[in-house]
This record gives sequence, C-alpha cells and structure tokens, in this order.
Amino acid sequence: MNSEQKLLKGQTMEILGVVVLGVSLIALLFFLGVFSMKGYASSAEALTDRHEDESFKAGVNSILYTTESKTGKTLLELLGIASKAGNTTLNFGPGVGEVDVRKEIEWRFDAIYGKGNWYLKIPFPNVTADIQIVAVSDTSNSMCEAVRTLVTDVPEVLERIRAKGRKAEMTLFLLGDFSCCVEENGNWVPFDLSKYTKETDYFHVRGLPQEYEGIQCKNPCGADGSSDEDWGAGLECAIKMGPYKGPGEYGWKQNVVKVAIPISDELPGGTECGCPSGGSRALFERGLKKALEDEVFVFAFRGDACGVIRTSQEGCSERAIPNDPYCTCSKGTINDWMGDMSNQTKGKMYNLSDVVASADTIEKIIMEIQPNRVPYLEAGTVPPKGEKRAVTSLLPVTVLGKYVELYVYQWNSK
Amino acid sequence: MSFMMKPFTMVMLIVMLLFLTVYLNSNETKKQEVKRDLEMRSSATDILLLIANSEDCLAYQLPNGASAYANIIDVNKLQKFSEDYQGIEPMCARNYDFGFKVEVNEIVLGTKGARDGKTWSFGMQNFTKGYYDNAVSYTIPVALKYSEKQVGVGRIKLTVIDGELEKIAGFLDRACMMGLTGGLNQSSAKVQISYPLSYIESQLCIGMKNKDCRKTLCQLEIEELKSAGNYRLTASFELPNKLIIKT
Repeated sequence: MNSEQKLLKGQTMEILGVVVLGVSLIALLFFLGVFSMKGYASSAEALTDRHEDESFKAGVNSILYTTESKTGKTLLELLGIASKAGNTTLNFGPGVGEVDVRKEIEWRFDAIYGKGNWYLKIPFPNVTADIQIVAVSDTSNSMCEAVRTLVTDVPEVLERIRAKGRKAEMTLFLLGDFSCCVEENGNWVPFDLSKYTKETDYFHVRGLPQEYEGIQCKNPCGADGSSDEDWGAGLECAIKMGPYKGPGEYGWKQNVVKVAIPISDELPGGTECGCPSGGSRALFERGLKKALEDEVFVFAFRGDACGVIRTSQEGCSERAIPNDPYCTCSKGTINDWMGDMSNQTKGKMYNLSDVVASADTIEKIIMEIQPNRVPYLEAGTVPPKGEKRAVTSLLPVTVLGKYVELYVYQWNSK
Repeated sequence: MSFMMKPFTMVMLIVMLLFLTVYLNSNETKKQEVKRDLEMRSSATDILLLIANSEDCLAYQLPNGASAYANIIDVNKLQKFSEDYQGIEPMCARNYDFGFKVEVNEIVLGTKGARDGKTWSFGMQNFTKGYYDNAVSYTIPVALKYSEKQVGVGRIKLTVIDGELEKIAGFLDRACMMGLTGGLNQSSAKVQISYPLSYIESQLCIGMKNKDCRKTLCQLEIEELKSAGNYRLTASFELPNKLIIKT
C-alpha cells in the first residue's frame, strides 16, 4: 500500500467514524425523546385510570346515599332493612306500600354505569326473624278448656322462648264471651277468663270487634248459626288488625314472620256442617284469602266437638254432645278445611284433642317456623371474564347491630 | 481525494447539526405540549375533587358545621353557585392556569326509565374551538341533597380549558386576589396572544368577530391588544377592586 492509498483509507475511516457517531447520537436522542414522551403518556393514562377508579367508587357511595321517593330512606338504609328481612321487596304498610329495593338499585346503576356494565351482590346475614301471632278463638262452650290452657300457659311459653333469643308475641282474639264451666280443685265452676289470663308485654287477650274498617268480623251462618264461631271472617279481621300494640292500637311490625291460629271445633258461623247455601265456606274463604294476600302462615288448631260440655247457664251440669252432627263434623269437614287452609298458607294443622299440649304446640311452631328469606340480593349483569373495577363496602344492618358486605363490579362493554 | 473528503465531511457535520437542532426543538415543543396536557389533567382531577368534596364548594356540610360529605352535593349551594358564578370560576376551586366549566345533571326516573332532570352550570360559559389550545372533560356521579329525606342522583361534568384567554384571566385574577388580600399591589407576566384581546362590558374577550368572553375578579382598565404577539402585562391593583393593566 503506497502513501496515497493509506491517506485515502485514513480519510474514509474518518468519515465513517463521523457518520457512525452522528447516527448513534441521533438514535440516542430519538430513543431518549421517545422514552420521555412515553413517561408523560403513561402518567396521563395512570391519571385517567385513577380518575375512573375514583369516579366508580364515588358513584357507588353516591347512589347508596340517595333516597327512595316514597319512604325518604336512603338506599343504604333500605338495603340494611332488606338484609335483615332477607327479602328484596319491603312492605312499609298501607300508607307507603311496597318498595322493591332491587328495582331502586337497578335504575340508578343503569343510569350511571349503563345497562349491562355493572353487577352488585349482597349476601344476606343468617338472622332469625321476629314472630307475631294472632289467634282467633271460637268461644262456644266446647272450647272452654282449650282457651283456659292457652291463656294460662302461653305467656310462660313466650317468656321461655324470648329468653332463648327468639322474639315472639301473641294476641288472642276472642269471638265472643264464655258461658262454660271449668274444673277447679275438683269442682266445676263458671269460667272466668280474667282470672286465668296472665297478660304480659308479649301476650294479650282481646275481644274481636263486630266490625273493623267496614268488615263484618263475626257472622252467624243463617238463623241458627253463631257469630262466636266465625273464625273465617274473624281471621280476616285479625290479620287486617294485626297484634295488639297499645290501647286502641293494633298492627304488624315490619319484616316479621306473621302467624295466624284459628281455634275451633266448628265450621265458621256455626250450625256444624249444615250451614245453608255455602255460608260457612264463604266465611272460610275470606280468612284464607286474607292470609294468602298478606303472606301469613296459618296453623289451625282443630278441636273435637265430642263428649260432654258444661255451661254456666245450666249450673255447670254435664250435657252430652250428640255424636252426629257435632263430633262427626269436627272430625270430618272441619278437619279437611282447616287442613286445607294450613297447607295453602305453608302452615300446619294441629288437633286439639289433647288441650294440655296446645301451649307446647305454639312453642313448637315458634321454634320451627322459618321465614321466607332469600340468601342474597343480586342485581345487574353477571360480570364477564377479564378486567373490571371492583369495590367492597360495608353495609350497616342497624337493627342487628352488625355489618354485611356489599360487592359492586363495573366494566366497560366492548 | 483529500480535497474532496474534507468539504464533504464538513457538509455532513453541518447537516447533522441542523437535523439535531430541528429535532431537539420539535421534540421539546412536543414534550411541552404533553407536559401541559398532563398538568391540565392533573388540575382537572384536583378541581373536580374540590368541587365535589370541599364544604367551601358544593359538598353538603352537616348543620353543626363539623364535617362535609364527599360527593354529596348540597343543592342550595349548587343553586347559589349557578347564580353567582356565570362566566367566572368559583374561588373555592379556582385554578389560575386553566379555566373550567361545571355542569351538574340530575337523573330522575321517568315512565320510560331514567332521564335527565334539572341541570345547573357555572364557571366559564363559552369557549370556541380555535381560541383555546386544549380541553379535557371528566365526569363523576354524585348525590344531590335537597333535604334529609330527599337525595337524588346526578352527574358532575367538569370541562377544563387551556387557552390564552384563560391564562391571561388567571394572571389577572391572581393579581386581583393578591391586591385584595393586601399581599402585592403590582405584578407582571409575559403573555402570548394569537387573537385580539379586549375588555367589553366588564368581560375580558379574545377573538376577531365572534369573541370568547369571561368575567374577571376585578374591574379592568386595559387597552385593546389588537395584534397577535408576545406582551408583558403589568397589573396594578387599586382599591376597592380595580386592576390597571399596562403593556
């Protein structure tokens, strides 16, 4: 290689060096620029994401704080009540009516997040509901012993049950006055109801009015019938009135298990199975319809109109009840009707042949009855797989003094 | 050969340097734009939080004044804001770099499902595309509290504007605030305008024929800036609430 060639090679290398240096410098600056831009872009993205997360959480909290128009209660309160009741439809009585909590949730979430973009679930706590009982008793002479046992023993039963943590109360409505006799220290004496009745805060005995809010509560079936045996219309009135609350006041509490107990050994309105023109059946249907409408469990107590009775008018002397139609009717048609009413209302019929057991039967009913509860409230659309926002809130169930969890998911439909 | 190589190397170097300068310059401009956008988004989040969560703004405050509920809007305050702050941002959330507009929509249940009910708005009222550089909108759901027994659901939509008018108004409002609080009676800033700037009927306006206008905290004494360009504005505060602007 001569000197000119060497010089050329040197210069070429020099140019190449400058070009490589320049290209490297440009590439370096380019990448630095891209990365610094990326940094800003990802910060902006993170900021938007954070805003959307916060907006979602704020939305859930805001919606829960809004009020329902009829009750003025916040959704948070309504959900708490629904959790306690184990029901998404809440009844606030005649003035306000029913509130469907799920619907209230749905229209608000649909408006904010869009239909099909959210899902909410609240597992309801396992709670025991309070029980209120209205009993309607026939006051004919054959029911004397059964009623005496109830007014004497049920208050103790209720105290015992309440001590176990199950809140129950009962109001016994009487369809008339007694003129029968009961055995006392080996002697037969006229039955004085007030002497035996042990009223407490949770057990009350009241006479059923003749009429309540335009409804005839006590009807005889035809000319020979007896209004103090009308446990059909009587049941309708008792359910409408609800349990005794205070002087002149009756009504059901919210979200309780409602139980009604007709007690009789006769068809409604009397005359055994001989009531003309289906009059007894019409009275029976009134009670059944009201129980079904108001979701009341009926546990009918059927007596046997058999054996002997003693009335105070006859000086407590013994009088035999004719087998036909009394005894056969009570064990036949009455048994069928009471059984039918109990089955249709998801209750059970009990035979009062052993009157001593009637108070224990009430204890059994209270301890075993299960309210119609749904296990959870679910609203919205089941979330798809993939990324979604989630928030878990605590929902106070004030009446229980505890909290349940509320889960909400939100996603954007593609 | 050597005679050819040296000038060639020289030309190459000059070209490279030119390229680098142009590239760095454009990159810096882009970076500034992205940075400004990020600042605007960040400010939008802050403004929205203040509007919805601060008791000085719209948040419902307990009657005893103890605390305020986040995202629960006091409708009485909202009504007052929509009357008092037309064309100007409320001071509780004022940002001196950006302008903003707040729209609140109530959502009610109609016969055919949810629909918009009452609406309220405050802050900047008109901003025309072309007169501002950038805008961003954020929305959050809120509860609208009329009374203890009446709380509705609604949405707040915040639109933040980044433009020359908003920057100038921001500077003037800051100068006014400093004057009102006795902090500083004179301040100055360098501003850029692309369209004529004028003060018409107590409103600061930008634009040619159809102008974008907005209110300012103080009354202004300013001569119209007719041509585009960079200006240094010096604002002097005079009691009770007047700013004399000189260029």
